[in-house]
Amino acid sequence: MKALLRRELYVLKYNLIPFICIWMLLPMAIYLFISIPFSGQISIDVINYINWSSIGNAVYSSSILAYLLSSKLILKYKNKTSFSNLMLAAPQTNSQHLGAIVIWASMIGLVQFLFSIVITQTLNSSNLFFLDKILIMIYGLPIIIFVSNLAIFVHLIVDRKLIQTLVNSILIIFFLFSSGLFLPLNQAPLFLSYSPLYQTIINMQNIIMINSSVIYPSIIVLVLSAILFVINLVISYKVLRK
Amino acid sequence: MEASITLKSIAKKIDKEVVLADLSIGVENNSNHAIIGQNGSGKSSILKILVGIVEKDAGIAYIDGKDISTRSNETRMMTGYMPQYIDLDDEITIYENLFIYSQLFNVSEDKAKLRIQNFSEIFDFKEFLFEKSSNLSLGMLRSIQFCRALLHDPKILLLDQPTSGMDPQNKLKLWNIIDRIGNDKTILFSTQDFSEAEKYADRISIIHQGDIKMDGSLGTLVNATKGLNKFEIRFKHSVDEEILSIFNDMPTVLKPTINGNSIEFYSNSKNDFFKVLRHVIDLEIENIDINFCRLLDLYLGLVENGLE
Repeated sequence: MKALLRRELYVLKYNLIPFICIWMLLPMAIYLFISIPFSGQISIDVINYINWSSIGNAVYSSSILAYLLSSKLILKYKNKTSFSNLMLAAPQTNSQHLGAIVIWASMIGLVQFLFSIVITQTLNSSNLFFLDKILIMIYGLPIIIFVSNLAIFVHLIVDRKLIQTLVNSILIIFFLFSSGLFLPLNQAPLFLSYSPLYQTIINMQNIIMINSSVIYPSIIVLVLSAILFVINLVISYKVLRK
Repeated sequence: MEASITLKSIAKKIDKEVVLADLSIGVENNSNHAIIGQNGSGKSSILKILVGIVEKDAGIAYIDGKDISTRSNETRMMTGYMPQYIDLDDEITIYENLFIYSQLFNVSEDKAKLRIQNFSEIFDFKEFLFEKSSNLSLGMLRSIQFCRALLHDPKILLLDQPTSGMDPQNKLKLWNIIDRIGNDKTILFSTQDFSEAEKYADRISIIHQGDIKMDGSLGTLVNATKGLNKFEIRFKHSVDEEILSIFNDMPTVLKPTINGNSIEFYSNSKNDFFKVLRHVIDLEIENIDINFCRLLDLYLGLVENGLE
């Protein structure tokens, strides 16, 4: 797994400037195109909407990046490319391959999370404590890991590019409007407000609103990620070496 | 001799098309074994199954006595694989490619650096080590792929058409190295270059439609033709199809064909040739060619079912 991660590190080395641009521009774009327009329409108790949506900004941008990165890497394995031939001929198990993808995507996603939090907090002149930021990141990491596993799952089971695009679009819409990241889910169906994903996001928003928070929804998301990883592993034996 | 690679009743379907059908083959320890066959006959699939890129649908395969399905990491660790196509990662440099590969096979960093240095000097790509693969020629990339397969000093080398795209100089260099290391390594290679198979393989398997049709040393294979000769008579002008009727009363003549201005046929009796010559002596003969059946003739005969 070390070698697989080292390969990604080499690739990052040659693409550092584009990555820094993405890390900086993605939260700014979300701030500009989602947070500011919505701030005129939505009001939140205790704090202003722009400050409240900074959690959504961080989770959304990091999840999108982790999703895209995981998709790109799993497709490199799935499509019979030179890369997949080389990697699958190496004495590495499928769990090492998938594990490397999840770890790498989560690491890049976490850096994006950090950039997003710092940028949005700076733009909002907010004064979150350092420990609060760390706590938000700890709560947010399971979501990034889950999203990375979800990307692997979708791209392992869906072969046709059109269907992949459709599923990706649906997931993006779900994350934008039905996960509580940018819109409070007061009017949403009950099952959505009980989802561990939503509860985790609520917890992170509680931190920014200086309310109490609990870690168990994040742990549930982590457990769900582990289950999804096992499912991906089983599917990978059917898909990757066929 | 002990078998280093054993495949028993291997079957593989890709997209509902049978690629390998009940294929069995054994490769002796420390031998050079060639697989020859036309495109799509299943040569590459055998190597891909052995290295674990593709899963077999049925059958058992062993490498050094270990089942490739249950002990895949161990069997992959002892094999070096060179695919038919360029598979170097074009997002990183040649050095990084080789280094990552050696790390995948748990070669220590110092050993990996030393080996990369040595191989780059032998195959003259030292100056390109820190370039990306997209900047190098095909022949150079093939050499690098060959070096990569050797980086972890594997017991078994699986080479898929190793010299395709290489210039003659590098081809010779590669075969010299294979010759040098061949004493303590088992080498299984696929090729469409029959002269390479004749020259460098201890044993040759002819694969057709997913199954091994003939298998043995070059001598054994050629002996199987029972001294068959290939006769070719070339005329100044094109010949009529009716001329083939002269072969009707010659049961020992095999596969008579008209090829442009020539007639070709196989026989193990020179009398047949003289009989044919007597029939066509009035036509303007330009050239006569008599050859012992070689691997290529044997292969073509098998593929076209004429010499079975």
